[in-house]
Amino acid sequence: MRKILIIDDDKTDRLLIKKALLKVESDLEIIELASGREAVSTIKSESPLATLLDIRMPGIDGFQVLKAIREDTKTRSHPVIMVSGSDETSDKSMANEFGADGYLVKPDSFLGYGELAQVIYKSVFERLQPE
Amino acid sequence: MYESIEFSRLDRRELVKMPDQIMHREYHSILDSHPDLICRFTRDYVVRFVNRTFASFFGSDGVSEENTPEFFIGKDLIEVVQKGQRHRLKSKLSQLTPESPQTEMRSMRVAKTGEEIILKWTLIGLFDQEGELYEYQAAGRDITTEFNLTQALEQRNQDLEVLQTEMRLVLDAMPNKIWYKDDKNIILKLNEEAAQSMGMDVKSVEGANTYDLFGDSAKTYHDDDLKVINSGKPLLGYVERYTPNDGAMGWVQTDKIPFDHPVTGEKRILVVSTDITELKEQEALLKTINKNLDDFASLTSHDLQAPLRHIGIFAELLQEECADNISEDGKEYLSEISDGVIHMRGLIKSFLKFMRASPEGVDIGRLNLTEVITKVCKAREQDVANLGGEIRIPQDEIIVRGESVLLEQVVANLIDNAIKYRDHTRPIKIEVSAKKSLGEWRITVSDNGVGVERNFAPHVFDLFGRAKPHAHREGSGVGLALCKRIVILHGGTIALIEKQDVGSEFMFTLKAAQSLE
Repeated sequence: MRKILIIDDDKTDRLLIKKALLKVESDLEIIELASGREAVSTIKSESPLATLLDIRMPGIDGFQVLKAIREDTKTRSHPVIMVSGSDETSDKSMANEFGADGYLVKPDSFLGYGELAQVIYKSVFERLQPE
Repeated sequence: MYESIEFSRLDRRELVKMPDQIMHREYHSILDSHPDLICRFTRDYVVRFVNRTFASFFGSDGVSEENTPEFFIGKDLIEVVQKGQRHRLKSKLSQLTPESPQTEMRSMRVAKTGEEIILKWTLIGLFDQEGELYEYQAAGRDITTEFNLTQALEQRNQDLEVLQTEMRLVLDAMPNKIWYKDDKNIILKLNEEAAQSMGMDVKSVEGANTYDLFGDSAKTYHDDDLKVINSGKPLLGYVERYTPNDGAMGWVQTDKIPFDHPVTGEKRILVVSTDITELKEQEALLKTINKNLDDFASLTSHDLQAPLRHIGIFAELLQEECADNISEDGKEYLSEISDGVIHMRGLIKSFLKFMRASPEGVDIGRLNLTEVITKVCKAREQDVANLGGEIRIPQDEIIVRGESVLLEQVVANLIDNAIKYRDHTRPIKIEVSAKKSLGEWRITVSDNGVGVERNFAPHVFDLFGRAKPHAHREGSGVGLALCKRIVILHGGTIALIEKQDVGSEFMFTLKAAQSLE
């Protein structure tokens, strides 16, 4: 089964993203991590298609997690999309600098989450499995 | 009267062989034409000789005889002398001895013109071979001009000394370091503060060349000074690091002003340095505090936004996915929750902008404040009506420069305070009024509530400064402080107006904007 890894300390955000993604594509396994400590090892062991990574998390923040992913030879080219509550330009440029493949702002409505899931679907599934 | 001698007709050799009588007339002629007042008199003060200058000086007006030397011969000299000076003259003369036959005295005489004339007298006692005094000789010289000049010079020197003392006092009282130099790097003047910063005293530095004081290291300063002197333009507000004599690193702000000496035209430079170390430290501290505040505001708002987003989304999900199981009332409540979430989201965003506290961080533009006031009052109209009261709003079209969400906060806070601090014994009355004057709108919110106690009035805008007598009433103590910050951010003022009768009255001003009509 195709897998997507969500790393976010906020349980509700994980739930909303998961719910929205499954609405777009039900044949999907969502792996959830509440911190980025095991990100690299999980990517290696589970081989998800992509990782949706929050930025502001206690302990190791999203940028440090992304850095660790990019520094490991086996996960270096793994697709990572930052999904953050922050709309700050500084966060977006930082994500770009650390090598994120995309940056999405957490929406204020569930409709917005649907759109977010569509964007993720298109950028991850359609690109990987073109018809 | 002596006849004048025609010298041109005399042969030099004849002059040498001149008989005594001619010689006598010759000397008299010389003495008569001498500008000094000359006289000889006996030990009993009987005048034996005066020259014409003497006679003319002491003679009376209109009587030609009295202006002649002959008039004075045989007179008592003491009678000629003014009364006030007679005793002094006698005393001076009595002190003369063969060993010390000469003395001086000054006298002042008011001339016929009323002018004061100062005379300097040289008194000589003439003694015979036995040491016996037989006559006196007096020569008086008009030293009025010299005396006045000396007096004026002394006064001028005294004034100059006072001026220099005052200048020194002013210079030394200045907290700045001040140097006055020439283009050769010689320190012509400096104040104590400047001398101290060099580890020296004023006297040892004034007049010294800085190359002699500091060697080659003075060149940097000299070069900088020359740049300013040659450009002829002052260098103002130059901030640099420096190490004063005590070794602690600091900051100074320096002004260098070039000018030409008003008399000689020589190049000069005035260097004024102000120690801004404390200011710099405060600036750095303020930057850190602002950064912390910014980080705090940013984190707080993000932490607040996440649960708020969740509340909104789940209210939305309930409405969409569980609509069949929710009553009409329930749906209305959910709608209220969504509205509340949207409102609070706006507040948080505005608050975040506000906490960053730079005017450019807030989108201040043309705003119809009447609409904002109406919106706030309409939302509370029913509640106030339920309490048996009323809210009056202004009819004017109030167009200001402002940010809608923030100013809505100000109006809402003032109206909510009026409701919160109402007097339960009478129906509540709130009036919002507006007046435009000198390019600004003055908005007033008045009520007939319990008012603000005089003691607490100065603290109503303090953070957590809520009037203690009403502390049992609901409120965070942030509202009015926030109002003040918002109004100040808009370039306005806010105040509590003292009321003679019941209730309270708050006033705030905002810059007026052009109406589109």
